[in-house]
This record gives sequence, C-alpha cells and structure tokens, in this order.
Amino acid sequence: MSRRPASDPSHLRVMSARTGLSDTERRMLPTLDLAFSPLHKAAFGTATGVAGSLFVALLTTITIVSPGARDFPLALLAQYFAGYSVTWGGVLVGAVWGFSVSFVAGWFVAFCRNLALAIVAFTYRTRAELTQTREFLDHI
Amino acid sequence: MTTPRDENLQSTLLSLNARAWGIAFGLVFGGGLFLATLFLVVKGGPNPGQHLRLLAAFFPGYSVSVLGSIIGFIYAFVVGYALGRIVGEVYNRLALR
Repeated sequence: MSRRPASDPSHLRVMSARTGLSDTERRMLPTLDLAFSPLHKAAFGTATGVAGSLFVALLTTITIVSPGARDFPLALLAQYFAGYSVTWGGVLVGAVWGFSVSFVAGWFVAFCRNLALAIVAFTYRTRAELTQTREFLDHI
Repeated sequence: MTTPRDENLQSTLLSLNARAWGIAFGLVFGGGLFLATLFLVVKGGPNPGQHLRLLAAFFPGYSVSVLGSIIGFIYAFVVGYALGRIVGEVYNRLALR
C-alpha cells in the first residue's frame, strides 16, 4: 500500500499554501482534489477478491451439502479453474481461484475508473486554461 | 490548515459507501436475473429456460416464470447486496487504515 493514507492531510496543507490564489480558490482546491481522488487499486482488487472468493466457496459448499443442488453443473468450473471440483478440497481451490480472478477484475475496474476520472480532470483543467488565455490571445 | 469540515469531507469522499455499493450490486444482480428470466418467459418455446431453472437448487421457489422472476430478483438482490457490502467494507478497511 504505497499510497498516502487518507488520514494524512499533508497534501491539503501543501495545496493551501499555494500562493497567488483567491480565498475561494484556496478553499475549493482541496475539496476538488478530494472529489477527484482515485480508487486504491490494490485495496479494491483485494475487496472484490474477498467477495469473489467467498462467493465461489459458498456456492461449492451449498452444492456439496444440499441434496437438491447436486444436479447443478458447478463442476464445469473446472474448465477454467484448474484443480477445481465439487468436493471439500474444491472449496479451498475454488476460493483461491475466485480470489485471483476477482482481484484482477477489481484491480482493472479501479484502473479504468481512475483513468476515466483522470481524463475528465484533464479535460476540465485544459478547458479552464483555454478560457483563461483566450482573453490574452485576443489582445495580440 | 484544514478545518474539521474538510477532514470530514475527505473521509467521506475517499471511502466507499458500503450500503450504496450493496444496493448497487443487488440491483445489478437482481435486475439481471429478473430480465434474463422474463426474456426466456416471453421467448417461450417447448422447454423455456432449461438451464436457468437449475438456479432453483440455490434459490428455493425460483422458476422460469413471471412469478419466478420476482422471486429470483429478491434472491439475487440479497446475494448482490451481501457481495457489494463486503466489497465496500473490505475496501474501506484496507484503503482508509
């Protein structure tokens, strides 16, 4: 976890110390910084991984324990999850596979979300800078 | 210097709302099963939903019918809510520590 912890407001102090800004801007900048704060990819991946792991483990357990669920073709998961089977050992293997697959999916979702947010922030910033310089260019 | 309001805003924005994530996941799961079931009901045929009906093994009372789509929505919503809630809670514990 290399990212700055959320409880550390040092980046806000740095932003507040910027010079040449109006009071309103100085007040708003930290808020905007937070509004565009990215998702922590590893944490989000782990969170989805835990959920996916529990999901596969629970699904396998119900299939083993419940007599009515034995007809459910859950064993077909072995086509993708090497070593998986509808057994007590398969619960563990499925949990590991579920965590791995869900972690990658969650990490990628967070990455795409952060990328989209960065593009939006970049667009806003570029538009604002163009608006600021338009008046200057008119005088040339 | 940050005010208490700023710090409050920071913790609110950087954390995920676990309940909202639960509801969002629940609606996606529930809505997905609801629409999938209704699609097969409307499509009809001699043996509609021969694979989807296997979900009855996990969701007692579920069937590929209009009533079954509502029952399936409720079951899938509960499962989705639990998964979304887990994602939100685990993320907050890891990212905000």
